[in-house]
Amino acid sequence: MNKITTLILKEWADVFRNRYVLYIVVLMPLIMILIPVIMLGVGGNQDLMSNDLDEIPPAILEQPGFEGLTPLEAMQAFMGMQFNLFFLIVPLAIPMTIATYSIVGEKRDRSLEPLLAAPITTSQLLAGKAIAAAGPGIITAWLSALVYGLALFVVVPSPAVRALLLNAPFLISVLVIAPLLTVLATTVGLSVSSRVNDPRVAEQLGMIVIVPVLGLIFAQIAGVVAYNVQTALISAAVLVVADLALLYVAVRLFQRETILTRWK
Amino acid sequence: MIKTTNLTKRFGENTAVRAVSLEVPRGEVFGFLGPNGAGKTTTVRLLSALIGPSEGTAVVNGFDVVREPMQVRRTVGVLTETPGMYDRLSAEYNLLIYARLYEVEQPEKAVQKYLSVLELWDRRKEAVGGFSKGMKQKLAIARALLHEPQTVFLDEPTSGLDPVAARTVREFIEQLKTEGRTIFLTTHNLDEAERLCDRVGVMRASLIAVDSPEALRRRLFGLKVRVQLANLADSHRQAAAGLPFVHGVEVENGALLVDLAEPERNNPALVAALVGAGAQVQYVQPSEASLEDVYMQLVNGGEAQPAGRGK
Repeated sequence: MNKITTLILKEWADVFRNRYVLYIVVLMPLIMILIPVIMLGVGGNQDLMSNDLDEIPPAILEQPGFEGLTPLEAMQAFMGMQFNLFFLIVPLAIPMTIATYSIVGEKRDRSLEPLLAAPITTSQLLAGKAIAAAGPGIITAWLSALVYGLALFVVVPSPAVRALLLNAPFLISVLVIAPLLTVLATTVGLSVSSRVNDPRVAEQLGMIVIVPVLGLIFAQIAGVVAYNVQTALISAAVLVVADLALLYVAVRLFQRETILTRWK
Repeated sequence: MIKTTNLTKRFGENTAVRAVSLEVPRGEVFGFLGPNGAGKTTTVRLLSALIGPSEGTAVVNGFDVVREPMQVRRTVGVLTETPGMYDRLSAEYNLLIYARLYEVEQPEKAVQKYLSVLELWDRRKEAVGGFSKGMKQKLAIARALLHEPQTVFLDEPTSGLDPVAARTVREFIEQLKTEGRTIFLTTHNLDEAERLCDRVGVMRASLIAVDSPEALRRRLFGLKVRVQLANLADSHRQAAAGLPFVHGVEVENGALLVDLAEPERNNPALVAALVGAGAQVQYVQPSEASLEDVYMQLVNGGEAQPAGRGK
């Protein structure tokens, strides 16, 4: 077993026994799936929506791709599109939590010094910590997207509406943006936790990266941004640049001596 | 084996370790003493290639700590100030992680060996969080030895342990000594240093003194013998003081404390002179300053006086 694998398995064995981390890893995806699924269930329920159907703004009914949909289907498709990006919080929050706990937690428990004294290179240590944090982030994001996609077959009876939700931008989000966000969260988590001594402070500082994603979600809800293939690809390109820059910063900040001597 | 030349470490304006030159031969137990903040832990970190020096060089087990840090880490074992175990993981898994990181050939076997030696085998499956401080310390010692290092750095190995656990750890260090490993022992426990160490170094940012406890005692406090008399009188003190090889005589707790040259050679003449002066000599014993006296003298720059306790 090579050293990086040993480190990854150690990280997972340790961090998933931490109740706080475990709650985040289990509850966060559930919440991020349940919110859109419930909203879609409500939006597609004739009885619940009957009073509102007559008052649907024409702008909703006239959205591209909504041609031929009944008012109820249009309402459901519209609501679904607002919450389609919710699961992107998962690949941000989970790696961030694991990354911050895996370094700051070790500092706090004083287990980092023996680890740094072992014959492992800084790159191996960084790789081990990063993969251990990013892996669950990507896997839970993909699982969340899969469960969400399957749930749509239950709460969205119309194939036309499902096609509008499980569209190309959604697939780009799942396959490209989610992994890029995971890398972003991991590098930020590792960078921040190299310099602070409290896991919660590290996590709160790191959570700042969620703000742009929330911004994108709210911008879409407010109708400021249309999340289509073009904006998805632009977002992916921006993330690639941000990831590379942050990876560089993380490698520069993740120095044995600094981590060790700046911790009190 | 350890060799440093002008080893210096600065953190900004603060010089934590200043120009330490030291040589510890293979198989020696070297005690590293000094007050808190004297730079002991920083020196250990430098020698175990955890941090780099600002100036000077250090070679450990034949490897330069700057140019060959991985080889240094491979050949040294480090017991850090706090055990730093993964409390949520079992004792066995804690050690297995390190056995694999150190590329031990048969990790399971090494883990079994040290868990058994340190009497933790029966509790190997338990989470370390439930262990006592002594058990965690023993586990941390096992972790430091799994890869059979040539040199072992032990930072306060018995600190905070109850007497029984501390004794177990000390006995284990004595056993390590017989295996021919170089042991670099940082401690505040001077009795422990006295008992275990071949030589000690006293640190206060720089290395103030290095020698065996015995040589340091002789160098700082000279040689004294305590002569217990049944009938102590001033005439006895004067008789002793009049001898040409006697440098000074004090009376302490009903005995004469005689500072003299070459006690092994001159003690019979001293005893004869005292008997000649009518003294009833009960016993004669060397009176040595304790390592604590030596330490206080070195650290406080001559404030301490020898207690003159017999040995």
